[in-house]
Parts: sequence; C-alpha cells; structure tokens
Amino acid sequence: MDVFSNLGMGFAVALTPTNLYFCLIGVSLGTLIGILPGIGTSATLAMLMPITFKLNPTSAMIMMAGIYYGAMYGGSTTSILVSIPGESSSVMTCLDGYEMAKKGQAGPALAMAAIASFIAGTISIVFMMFAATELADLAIHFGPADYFSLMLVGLSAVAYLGGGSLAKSLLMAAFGIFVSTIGVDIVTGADRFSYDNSELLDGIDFLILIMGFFAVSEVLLSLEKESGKQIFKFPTKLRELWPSKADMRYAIAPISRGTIIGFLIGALPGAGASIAAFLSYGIEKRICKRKDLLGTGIIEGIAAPEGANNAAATGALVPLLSLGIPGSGSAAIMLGALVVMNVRPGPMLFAEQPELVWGIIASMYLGNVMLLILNLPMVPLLAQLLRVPYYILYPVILLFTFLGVFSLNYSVFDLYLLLVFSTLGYVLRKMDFHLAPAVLGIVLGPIMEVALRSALILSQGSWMTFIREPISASLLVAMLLLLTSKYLFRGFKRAAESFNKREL
Amino acid sequence: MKTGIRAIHIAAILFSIFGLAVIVESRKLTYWSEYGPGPGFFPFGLGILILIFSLFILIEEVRKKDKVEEAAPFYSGWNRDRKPLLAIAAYAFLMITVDIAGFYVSGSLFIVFLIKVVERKPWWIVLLVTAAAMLFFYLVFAFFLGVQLPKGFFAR
Repeated sequence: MDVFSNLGMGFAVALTPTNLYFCLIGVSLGTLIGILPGIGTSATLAMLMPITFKLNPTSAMIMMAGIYYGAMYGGSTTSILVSIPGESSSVMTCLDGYEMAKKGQAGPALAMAAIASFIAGTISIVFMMFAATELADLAIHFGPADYFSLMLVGLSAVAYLGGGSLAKSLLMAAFGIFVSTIGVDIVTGADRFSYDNSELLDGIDFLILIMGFFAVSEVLLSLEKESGKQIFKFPTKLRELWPSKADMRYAIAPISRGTIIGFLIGALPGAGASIAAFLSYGIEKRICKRKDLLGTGIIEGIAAPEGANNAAATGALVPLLSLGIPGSGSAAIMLGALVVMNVRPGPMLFAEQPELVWGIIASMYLGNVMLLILNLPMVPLLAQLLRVPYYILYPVILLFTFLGVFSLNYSVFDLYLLLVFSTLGYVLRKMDFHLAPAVLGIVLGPIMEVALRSALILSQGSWMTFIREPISASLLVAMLLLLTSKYLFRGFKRAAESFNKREL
Repeated sequence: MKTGIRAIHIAAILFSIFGLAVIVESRKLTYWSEYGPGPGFFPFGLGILILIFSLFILIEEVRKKDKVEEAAPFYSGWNRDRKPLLAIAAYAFLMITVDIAGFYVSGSLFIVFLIKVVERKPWWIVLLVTAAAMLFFYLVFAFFLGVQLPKGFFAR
C-alpha cells in the first residue's frame, strides 16, 4: 500500500476549508475545556462529543482528534501554572513545570510543552501511519475467535495497567459489557432485559454511560475537595515566552526519547499516556545530562513527559484504527464517536473508507501545527480561565452534559439514565473503582458478543477453537501471563528470597 | 473503623446480588439454540463473571480490614459531602421538571439553586451567571446545533 499517495489524499480531505475550520474549532475548544480545572481529557471528549454529531463522519472525527490534542495540551497548561494536572498523564509535568513557573519561567515551560508535544506528535504520526497499515493488513486474516481473544487481551490490559485492584477493574469491565447486552439481541432479535420498556429495547446508548461515568462523576468528586479558595499562587508574569537556545539544546534528546517510549507504550492496549509520561521521566532521571537537577525546574522535565504523553496519545490510535480496539478511556470515547457515525474501525476501514482514515491522520498533522500556532500566543490569555471560580463552572458543565445527552435521542428517559450512571460513577469512584474498563466494556461488548458467538457457531460449539487457532491461542496465553503476573512474580520473589536465605 | 463494615463491603455484596440476578434472568432466555449460542448465552457468562469478581473483591477487602487507613472515609459528614449530594439532588430535580417547565426555566432554577443555596454567593453573581449560561446554551445548542431543547408544558 502506498502510504504517501494515501497521505496526499488525506491532506486533500483535511485541507478543505470546512475541515480546517472544524479542526481549528476542535483544537481551540479542546484546549479551552481541557484547561478548566477538574476536567480531564476523557471528560472533555465526552462533554464535547455531541456537538460533532451534526457533521459528516470525516469532519466529526477531525474535530474529535482536534479536541483530543487540545485537551491534552490544556491539561499540561494547568500542571505548569498551578500544579493541578488536568489528568494523570500530565502529573509528571507538574514536577518541573510548576517549579519553573515559580521561578518566573512559566512562559518557556508552556512553550516547551507545546513544542515537545508538537515534535513528538508529528513524529509519532509517521510511526502510526506505517504501524497501523501494517497491523491492519495483518488483522484482515483474523477470524472471530482471534478477534474475541484480542478484545479479551485489550480489556484485561486496561484493567491490569489501570492500577488499583484488578478484581474491581475486571468487575467494571464485566458490568460495562453487561450493560451493552440490554435491548434487542442483534443475532436473534430476542428482547433482553428490557422488561417491556420501549426505551430500553433499543439498548442503552453508551454515550450516556460515558458522560455519567467520566464527566459528571468527575465534577461531583471534585466538589468534595475544598475548592472554595483558589489554592495556588498564580504566576502572572509570562515575561519571556520562548525557551532559550540552550533550553532547546537540552530538550532535543529528552523529546526524542520521550517520543519513542511514548509511541511504543501508547500502542500497547491498556498502557496509556500516563505510564508513558511516567516512564520517560524515570528514564531521564537516570540518563539525562542534568539528571541531578531534575525536579528543581529544568526544561528536560517538561520536554520528556510532554513528548511521551503526546506520542502515546497517537500510539493509542494504532490499535483503535487498525483493530477497532481502543487502548485507553479517551480512545474508547473516540471509538464511540466513530460508532455513532456508523463507522466500525477495524482492518477493513483502511480499505473501505480510505478518505476517512487518511483524512483523520492528515488532520492530526494539521492539529499539531494549529496547536502550536494557536497556543503559543494564546497561552497567557487562556491561563486567565484558571481564574474562573469552580462554583461558576460546575453548574454550567453539569447543564452542558445534560443537554448533550438530551440531544442524542431527544429522550427524557436517557436523562434518568444519566442521573443513574452519574450517581453510580460517583459512588464507585469514591470506592477507588477505575471506570475506564466499564466504558471499554460497553463499547466493545456488542463486538465481543458477535465474535464469540460466530466463533462458536463456526466451531459447532467447541471451545477448543480458541486454543486451536494459533493467533487466538497466543493472545490468550499473553492475557493469562498478564493477569497472573502479579502472583507469579510474587511467587518468584518469594522463591528467590527463600533460596537466597538458604544460600547464605 | 468502628463497625468493621465498610461501604465497599456493601457494594461488593450488592454487585454479587446483581450478578445472581443477571444469571437468573438470563436463564429465562435461550441459552443454546440449534445454530449455536442463543441470546441468553453471553449475559449468563457475564452474570457468572460479575458474581465471581464481586465475591473476590469482598474477600480481598475483608482480609485487609486491619490495614485500612482512615484517610478517605466513604462519607465524611454533611459539611464536607454536602455539595456533591445537593448537586445530585438538583440534577434529579432538573430531570423531573424539565419536561414540565422547559429547559430555560428548569435550567435557570438549577443554576440559581447551586450558586445561591449551595455556594451562598451574592445575587448579582447568581443572576449574571444564569443569564450568561442560558444565552450560551441557546447559542450552542438551539442556534448552532439546531437541537430542540425541552420546551415544557406551557410552551407547547
């Protein structure tokens, strides 16, 4: 497949004035909402998704990609200025970013976040282009059994790598999948769990669960914190915006390392931008030239994690576009947006809708450029948004989500579901449940069920098909290793310790 | 903890009951038809998984009862947890009344309640934010996106 002629076509799609416009709107809105405290990338995507519904699939996805990038950048801005990470992937940026801001170097820090994101984003899109097409070519030969196993691996990886209790995350995944089975069975047309409720017959729109679990419950939880007073000291002086030449020289190597680490980690299902940022910071702590100064506010501490989390966000799109399997909560929402547009990502997508796929890819290049152009001069202005008190923001955010859900089907019943999921999400979060597996479950559920049932029909009811197919079998082994690794390693460790004791 | 029973124990028990209910209810659907797995097949399996995982959580949580830190209790009293609870209540009120009073009335009441009653801010802020928000929602949803906002009983 000729990647470059396809990319050319993608640019032809993305460079139309309409699509450029939506890309710009997406990037600006994403940054704007992403900067608001207490709203992470997933929540931003969930909140803004309904406004893309009126567009054609290509424009909508271009706008969503813009929102995604914008929200990521917005999160970094708050990390640097007020040491409040917009989401977990920018936690590492707080360390040196806030220190720099305290020293009056907020300008260069913000600019470096944008530059590192831009470089890493652009390079990893090139990686993604090749990786995704290769993977899609490979995945065309996948049978239903392989697909089912692959999705199991994806879900377990998200549950495992999300941290916290594995049982809780797996429970959430199963719960999400169950919610997706409500309504008419796609294969036989039988009515499932709707109890003569005509609204439930169509199934529960997963966007309602996403908005309740990600957007509303996040707002409710942040209401518990003492948010009445602004806790931060606000460094208003953004005297010098540009990093110095020396800064740039120091930053190049960390950005490159961050890009490669970020992309590889991001492409793995489940390991998202947070782990990538964390790892790349850890590596800089070991090998970078000024490692002893790391944490005191030096430019490398921003360049590496910011490069890595942006590269990871792009890497996550590899399994999403080529296999239809999202690697993270945010990617699951992107998948949701595609499904709403009646686009099923997977290996066939590259063949069936090249203008969509390549349009999105090209728009990511553009999105990165726009972020850079837009953000560098706008940052001091955008930072003023941090002064908007939360008591004004949250009623508006709650109403926005409310209208977002209502605009899906014009159904009041959906609003009650939103209330239920919001409350449930809030309560579960309080008990340290991770909600991303549930969202992944409800999005992947229908595909998993069809794959499982087709596999079993093909094998005439024999479960052996999952072990006999080589791809499926190796995926299942990988999953088992992953899920038991905690216990395995503990066992190894204990064995090694007792062995050592005996030796001594 | 005084009682030893924590919110997570109750949640795990509720989830296991939920898993049981899913198992029982999906038994009523066809589990296996002559062509292969029927509509009840997948949910039945999920019910079992839900049951297993929630029991696992229960065991996990009961076993670590001595190590539980008191740092983040589930409910820390009305004073601290008042805001999210009132926000949920206001949300519920909004859902119920929006079909009768329409979005602009219910939505305004929602904002007024949260900023005036819950946050106890002066009236000029309350009114300013309410008016600006309603204009914003009108522009974004009704004007730009062409969404038919709930009109309410009187406007119909």
